[in-house]
Amino acid sequence: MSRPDQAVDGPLISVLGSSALLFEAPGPLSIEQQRRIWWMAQEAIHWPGVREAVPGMNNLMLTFARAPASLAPLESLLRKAWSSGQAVHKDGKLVELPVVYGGPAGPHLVDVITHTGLPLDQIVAIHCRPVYTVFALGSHPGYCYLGGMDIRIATPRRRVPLTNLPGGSVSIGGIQTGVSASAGPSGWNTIGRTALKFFDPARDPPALLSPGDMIRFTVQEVVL
Amino acid sequence: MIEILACGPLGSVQDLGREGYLRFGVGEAGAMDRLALMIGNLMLDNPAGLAGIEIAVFPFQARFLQDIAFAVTGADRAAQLDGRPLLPWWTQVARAGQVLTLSGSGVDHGAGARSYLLCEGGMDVPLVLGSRSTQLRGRFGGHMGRTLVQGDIVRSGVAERRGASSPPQDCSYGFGVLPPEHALPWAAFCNAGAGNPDIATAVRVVPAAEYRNFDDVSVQNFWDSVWRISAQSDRYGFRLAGPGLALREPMETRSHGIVPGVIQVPPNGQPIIQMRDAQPTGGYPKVGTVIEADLWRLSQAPTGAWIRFVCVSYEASVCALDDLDAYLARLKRHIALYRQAAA
Amino acid sequence: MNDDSLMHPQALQQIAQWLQAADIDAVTIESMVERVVLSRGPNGYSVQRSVAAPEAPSDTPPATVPPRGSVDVLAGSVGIFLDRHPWRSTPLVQPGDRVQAGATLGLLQIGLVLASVVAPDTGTVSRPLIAPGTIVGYGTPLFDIATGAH
Repeated sequence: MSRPDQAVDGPLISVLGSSALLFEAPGPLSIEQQRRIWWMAQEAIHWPGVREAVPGMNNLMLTFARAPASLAPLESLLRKAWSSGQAVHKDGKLVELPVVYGGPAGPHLVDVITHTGLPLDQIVAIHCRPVYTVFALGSHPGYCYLGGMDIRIATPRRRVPLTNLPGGSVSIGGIQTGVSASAGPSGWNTIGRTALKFFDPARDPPALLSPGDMIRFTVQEVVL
Repeated sequence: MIEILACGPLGSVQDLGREGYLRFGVGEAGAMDRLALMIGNLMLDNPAGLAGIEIAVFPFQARFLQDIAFAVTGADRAAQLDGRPLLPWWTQVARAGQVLTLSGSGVDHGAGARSYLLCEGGMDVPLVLGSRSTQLRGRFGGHMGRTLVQGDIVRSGVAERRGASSPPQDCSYGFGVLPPEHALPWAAFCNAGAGNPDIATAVRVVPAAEYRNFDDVSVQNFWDSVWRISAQSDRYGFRLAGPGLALREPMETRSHGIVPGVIQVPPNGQPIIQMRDAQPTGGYPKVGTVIEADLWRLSQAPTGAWIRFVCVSYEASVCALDDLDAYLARLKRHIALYRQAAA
Repeated sequence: MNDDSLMHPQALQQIAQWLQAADIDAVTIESMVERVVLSRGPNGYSVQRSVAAPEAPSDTPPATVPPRGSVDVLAGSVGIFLDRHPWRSTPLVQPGDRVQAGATLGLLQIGLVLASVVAPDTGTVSRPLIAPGTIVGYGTPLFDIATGAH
């Protein structure tokens, strides 16, 4: 049986069937740890047998080109890379997203108001204030996991997800915020919409944003 | 060229999947039963990874608009060419105008769930990010980024097959291959009989990181139970019905990369096996991962069928992949010998 | 009947190739007049020929010369004769069925491949002349088809 490799309070390395290794950084989620994950990802694509290095939220998945006979070499490389403490410090690009808040594009803004007890204009202001860092992409093509949302506007995920929200939907799920890149289901609270195109398979790279890039939301309109 | 005359939902063009774009949020997609896709291609002397049509809802009907060799693999759906029965796992040359029908009824053999239509040269849809698989969310790849509907015309890439200068081989009677169940050595399995929990498809699972976070009763139940594939099961995931699995204590989950086969346990305790169209990232606790070498077998278990999990090590999961490779190499040799003799 | 010898040199070579590919150590192939055994040794496959056993066991259909107005359906290769697909519970044809030229009457399992046993002519098919599951050789009669006017 595959045993997770974990020193006390150290990183956790585990296997996903015969297809991938998962490295998880210890401790609380932070941007500093994420910068180390980005560095590891840059290194890992050169390691033998690795098909792809996929950053997550303070974690890194390595998919195999072909399942290696032993996991020990890659596990060792992961531990060494983490221990080195090296990180990506260079900031990426800043992209501004004009958002239409509320109205038909933001059907759950009322739920955020109800849950937080804050007035609409304050919620919008709080949502727009930070510069959000793209931690990783995932979920669906072009979707960015963002860090930095102010927890005052945190609102629990919905009990019943909506089956089809349009691409560009700006949502709050728990303590996170995000923007969908294409039409699809969502269990988050959709508060507005942006028109920006996040993914184009004909482009290289196909995603507009990369880990390390930053987003700022701006108010295009507030619809009551 | 192939004209779709009748196609239920969920039919799509798929190859072996779109590799190397998980970090952009692009899941692999690809055939649920990659083995059936590869074998069909081998029967046609195609490269193993050419695209075919995956059919999950029946009846399915298509007209060949040109003379072309084709193969039908996967689930047995009483295939007929112009009304004449075609045997399962069979390849034959179709003449322009002939109609292929896969009807609704699984025949006397156990059901299976997905059939594959392959043709000489593969389905010629554009390569997008290195693959011809259909990416439904985001709507790209495959046939116009969507499932197939009546009236669609799918081109075949006849020019791509090896030896493109030679005309379609006149195997007028065609030939077949033994379905993979007969040849693969994990003989403990028999295919799921829908509705009969005594006949459960067993699939091998390597425990995942959160395995130890589930309580003892849950771990016992995970391995000992038979699990029913619920109606809410499709290319995104197989939702299983069975005993609820519970964590010892609540744990923080962070979004992380996942692969097809990962078995997630959401708050309601009912496991979901992530399949080919699953999101490339997940946030729920994972109890284990179905090994890659058994995904083809799992994908042929239909809604209502029963499955059970068998614990294996990582090393065993790699051996299982080696077994698959050896089987495919043997099959390729036998087909080559047959084609030589028949030529 | 000079086409009774089922083992032309080229056929033998081909059979040995298949046996090698299928990882089979030895095979015994019988026709009406001879028995051939191929067995794997350190230098490849060796061949031993002998006259066929005089009488078939009682549960095997008696060997017959096909009557006038009738054609043999012969095995096109060495292989395991099957009267049905492994995924079917009923045989491809029943004795007495009227079959068209080109119809599939049975199968030959050659390693992992299933080859069609095809009716060379239109007519009424007999029952199988060989028990399903038997390894047969190139040229072994598998069915008769009565082609006379019905």
